[in-house]
Amino acid sequence: MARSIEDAAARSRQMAEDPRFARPEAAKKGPEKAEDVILEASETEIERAADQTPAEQEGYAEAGERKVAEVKAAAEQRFGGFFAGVRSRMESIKSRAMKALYGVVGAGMEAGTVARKTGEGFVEVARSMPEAAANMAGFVYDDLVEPVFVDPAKAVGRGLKGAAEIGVGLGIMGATGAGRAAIEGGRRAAEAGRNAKDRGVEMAQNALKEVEENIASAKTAVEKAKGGAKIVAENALRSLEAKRLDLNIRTGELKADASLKVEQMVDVVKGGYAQGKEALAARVEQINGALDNAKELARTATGATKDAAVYAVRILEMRKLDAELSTKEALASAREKGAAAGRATARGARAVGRGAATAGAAGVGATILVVQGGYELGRRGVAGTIAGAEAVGDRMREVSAKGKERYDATMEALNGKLENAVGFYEKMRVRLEIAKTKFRQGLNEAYKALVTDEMREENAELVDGVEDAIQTLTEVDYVVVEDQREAAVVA
Amino acid sequence: MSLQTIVSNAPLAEDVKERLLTKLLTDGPTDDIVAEIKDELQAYIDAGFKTLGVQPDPNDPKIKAARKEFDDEVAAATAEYNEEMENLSIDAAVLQAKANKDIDSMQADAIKASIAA
Repeated sequence: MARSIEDAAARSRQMAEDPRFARPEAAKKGPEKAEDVILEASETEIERAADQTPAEQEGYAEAGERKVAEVKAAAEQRFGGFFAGVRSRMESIKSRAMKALYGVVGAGMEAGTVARKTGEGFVEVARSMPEAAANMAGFVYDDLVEPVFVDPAKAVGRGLKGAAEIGVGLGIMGATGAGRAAIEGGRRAAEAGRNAKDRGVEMAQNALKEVEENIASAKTAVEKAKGGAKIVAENALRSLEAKRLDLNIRTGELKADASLKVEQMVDVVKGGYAQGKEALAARVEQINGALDNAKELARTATGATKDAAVYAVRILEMRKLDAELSTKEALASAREKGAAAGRATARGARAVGRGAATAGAAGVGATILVVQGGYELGRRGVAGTIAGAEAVGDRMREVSAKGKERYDATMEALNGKLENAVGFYEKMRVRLEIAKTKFRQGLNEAYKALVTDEMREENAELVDGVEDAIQTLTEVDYVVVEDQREAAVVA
Repeated sequence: MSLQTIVSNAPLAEDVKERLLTKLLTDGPTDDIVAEIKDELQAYIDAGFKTLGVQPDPNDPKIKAARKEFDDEVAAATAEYNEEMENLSIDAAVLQAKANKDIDSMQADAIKASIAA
């Protein structure tokens, strides 16, 4: 038992020396109380004291005080750690949020700078557009407008010259074509002439044969006839002989005419205009030859033969005239066709010139339209770029505003949590303070109840002082608790 | 009744009362000053009981009940404190996760906007 008491005293001393106790001077009371117990306590009291813990030996108030201090220290440590953690998180979130916001703003500024530079580039291009248009217009004017519209005499001269050149060429081509047509016509005419000659010769030969037969019959009749019949027969015979002459002339004429036409056409085929002239001369010469023969026959013949020869001379002269006229007409027609071809060529050249001028004007208009279109495109590009930059800026501002809104909401929520934590800390502190106060008041009342009348009589002043101190302590507790309640309500 | 009046009327030594009143006037009724006032009063009470030779019985049912009530209150406060701290930690973690998500979203929006430029 004594050992237990000694152990209790030793534990009390250890506590008195332990720095963890907030009030070591109070803990020192432990050994004193233990010694008092050894000296004064009864056996029962000694046993009861041996069962007491050091805390009980020090007094419940001391134990409660330490308990409260421990809890408070742990709470402050825990709260402090919590506050530090929350603040660290807040700083981290704030740092990230501000960095993100700066990033957003920076990206917006960068995008705006790029857009502005792009817009300036487009503006520069747009500014150079009029100059490019002027250059293009100058080029068009110098090379297209001025030669075509400002100096039309020059263009007309060039056109006439070209038209004349083309007309000459086309005239040659026309003459050649006309020659080719004449050759073809001649070939066909020669063919027809040959056919006509053959039929005419055949007809003349048949007629001549018939005349010869009639003449033979007439001669027989003349020989046999006598008197008036013989005269009639002789007249008939002369008539037949004249007819035979005529037929001979016509047959020869037909042959000559056919040969002339064939030769003429062959000459046309061979030589064209000059050869045609030669052919004409040859034909005329042939006609002249035939005409000379006819004239000679008309001069030497008599009777019906002479009449036939005179008739033949007239026919030949008419044909000669006709041949000469026809040749002149053909030549005139050829010249006219060449001139017409030249005129048509000139008209074509003028049309070509007008077309070229129109095309030039259209080219100028198209060029101007292209330049205007380019300028318009540039202007639209600038407007579009500016609109795009403004849209990007709006988007960036929207993102920034949205981010700031979220950041503010997060910070507000965190601040709310912190306020809740502070309010809870205060609540807990008040709660523990009230518990501590009640516990201490209970102990004081327990002590007070143990004051005997004998103690009161012997130490009246001390007892009054102690009771007064207990009352004062209660008043302090009341005031403090009321203040804390008010503070808690306000919080 | 104010603390100054209570301290002025308290059965404490004059030098002690003067020191406490000076602190009250200087710093106001802080928790530390109030605790110091209580300690001084309790020390006076303890000294008085000691002088009188009053020694309460630790096994007194009243004292045991008071002690149990105090221990229960401390345990309940500790449990509530731990629960509240856990809830606050969870709320803070949720807020932080939401903030991180919002920041990621903002950065993604910023990148999209910059790409659109």
